[in-house]
Amino acid sequence: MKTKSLRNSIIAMSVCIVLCTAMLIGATYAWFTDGATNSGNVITAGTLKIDAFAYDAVDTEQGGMSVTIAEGDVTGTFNFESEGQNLKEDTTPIIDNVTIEPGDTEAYARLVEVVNNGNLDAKVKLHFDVTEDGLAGALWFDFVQVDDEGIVVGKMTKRPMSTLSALAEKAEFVVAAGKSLKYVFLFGMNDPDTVGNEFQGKSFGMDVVVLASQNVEGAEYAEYVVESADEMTAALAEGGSIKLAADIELQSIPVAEDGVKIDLAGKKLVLSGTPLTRAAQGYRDTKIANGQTLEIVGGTVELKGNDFQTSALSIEGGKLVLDDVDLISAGTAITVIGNGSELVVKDSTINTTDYGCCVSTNASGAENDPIDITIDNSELVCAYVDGWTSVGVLMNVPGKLNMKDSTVKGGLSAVVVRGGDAVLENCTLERPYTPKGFGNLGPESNYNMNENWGSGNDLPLSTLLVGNRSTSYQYATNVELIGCTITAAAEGAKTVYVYGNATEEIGASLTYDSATVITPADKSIEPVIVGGGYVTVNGEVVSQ
Amino acid sequence: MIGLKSSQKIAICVMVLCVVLAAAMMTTYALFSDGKTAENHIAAGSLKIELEQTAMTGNALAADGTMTEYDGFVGPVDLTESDAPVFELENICPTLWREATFEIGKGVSTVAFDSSVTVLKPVAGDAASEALLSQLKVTVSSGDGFADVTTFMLSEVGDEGKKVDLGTTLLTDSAPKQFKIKVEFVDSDDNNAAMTGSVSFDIVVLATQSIE
Repeated sequence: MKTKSLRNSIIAMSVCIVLCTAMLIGATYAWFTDGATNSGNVITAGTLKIDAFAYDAVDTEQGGMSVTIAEGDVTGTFNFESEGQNLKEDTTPIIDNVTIEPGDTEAYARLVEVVNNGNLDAKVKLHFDVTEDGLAGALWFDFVQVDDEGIVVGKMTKRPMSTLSALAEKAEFVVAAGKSLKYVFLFGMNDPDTVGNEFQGKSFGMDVVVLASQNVEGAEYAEYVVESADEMTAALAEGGSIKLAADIELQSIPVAEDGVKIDLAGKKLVLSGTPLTRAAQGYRDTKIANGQTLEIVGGTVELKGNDFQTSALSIEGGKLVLDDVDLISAGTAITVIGNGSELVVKDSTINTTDYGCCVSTNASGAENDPIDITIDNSELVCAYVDGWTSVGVLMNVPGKLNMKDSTVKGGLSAVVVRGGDAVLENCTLERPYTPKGFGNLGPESNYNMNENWGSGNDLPLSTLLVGNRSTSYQYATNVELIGCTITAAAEGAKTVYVYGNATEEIGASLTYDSATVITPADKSIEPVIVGGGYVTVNGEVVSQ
Repeated sequence: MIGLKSSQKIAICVMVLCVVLAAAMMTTYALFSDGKTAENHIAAGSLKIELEQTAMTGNALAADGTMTEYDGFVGPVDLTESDAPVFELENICPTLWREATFEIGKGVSTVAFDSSVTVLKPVAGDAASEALLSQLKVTVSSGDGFADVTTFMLSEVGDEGKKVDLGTTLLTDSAPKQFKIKVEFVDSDDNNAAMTGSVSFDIVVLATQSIE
């Protein structure tokens, strides 16, 4: 016991020493310090608040604004009511139950006031959705600006009502903070000599949307919220941002010059296409030309009427972005065809329901490349139709293909890289289907293996097909696989097949890391098969 | 200590504790002692930094709605003396940004020191202000050529603040240490939610004697 007491004492002393040492170390850290605090940094966001009012014309002065138009096609004095209709709160049409007959020479007037009640300058635009069945041809209109005293700025000119939407689209006004902008909207029927019976029973209607954005370079107007095909067509004509409030079916998307962003907001957009629209647009429904951007986010897009060769969405020099979109396509969904074309697919799915490629390029001319394709965190699946026609991603021109964290399932191939540079990281490529109706083509393992490859999808079957074997497509192909999984399910089905053009400069190279798994279900098939030409695999020349 | 009673053992422990404490205190004083002088003069060092704001760049809304270069800075400002906030922005709009440049001088310091800048948890009162917090991006740049960049949204600043180390200032350093803080109202789909929002925050620059 005494020995134990001694041990306890020693332990107690050791603990004391450790504690003291710890205190000493702690004290060491309380060294000299100095500092400065800058307090009260305040950042306050500004306000953009636009109100709009409409004032009916009245026969006699009632305390409201009185406007005298002295010059132009229509002259006279117009009196307006003193209390206007707040267009934010009252959705009653500002033009309602106006019956115009041939011979009616009256000029109808409404005063429209846009007030900037915020503390930031605003730019304002009027957007008109016109619904009419021919009466617009018999009507005229004009906007006459007036100042706060009702003095007319400019001259009144009768303009064809059919030009209303287009004119409004081009007009943009700046309203300073705390200020207002006033316009007299005048309309009436054309001269009796030009208006015949053909206008009997016709009607004209319009919705007016006051759009405002901060008056800063690059600021965009708020989204058009559309809930019908007509509204969407009108909104597309002006471009900008469009938000769906209902499922909508259109034939195609006419992309405005400045581009368009479509927020599907969980809704479904159906692009039905027709042979007519496809013929008119070069056998493609929606074209995204050079300099244009079409961005579609957050919902479902169904492509109808397209087939293997007539893709629904064609990028011809512009840029297409699919973000969080489920794209369902009856045929080839997207063709990346123009010089400098760019495709970005992220957090999306593309499913074909018949013959077709999810994404394809076109090697018919040098003007069709280079292209740039990015696919991130997405799934592209070709339907099982025959198991040897459809391709998930068919890239047969120079350019870039970057795929990450994505899955592609195809028939003939999941991915074909017949030119350009492809980097696939953490991707799964599958060919899960057994070819049907292959008939006298022989075993799939021999198909297109003993002759030059054809064009399009006239290729050997392989989950990943790299390079080229023909006198065309004379450009280099480089493919890098990082952590990928590549499988093929059918008997005799190849997983990776590589064939190079004749020389090093335009040959094919394949590199894959140790994390990449290439496993054909048919164990008699080599995971990576090199057919011929100039080919390097993991940096070593294996064929030349 | 064989044969000692418990009370004696405790007494011994207390004595040991006192001895060690005394040793600790002696050790502390030894940091500044100098035994080579005849008069045993002992003088404590000092750490007193200088903090200046030397520039403010950015953009500003012009009357025609375009963004122009901000040119309203009058300085330099000695922030160890001035109470004026560095960032005081009213009615800002998306894409507006300001970047302040700071210098930490050695002042009368006689020791090398490590410095850091901390943006304290901002105050935001309502939903619009909370939205504004998530749209204000702060970038702290320091090091050679301001190559060390730390970026965060003000909404990410927690109770402990967001601290960025600025490195060590040696007595042999000839130039003051520089760093920048940039605040930017980013362009996003949710900008309208931040309209009328207002946030405030403090910035603390701290210098601590550098130790091996």
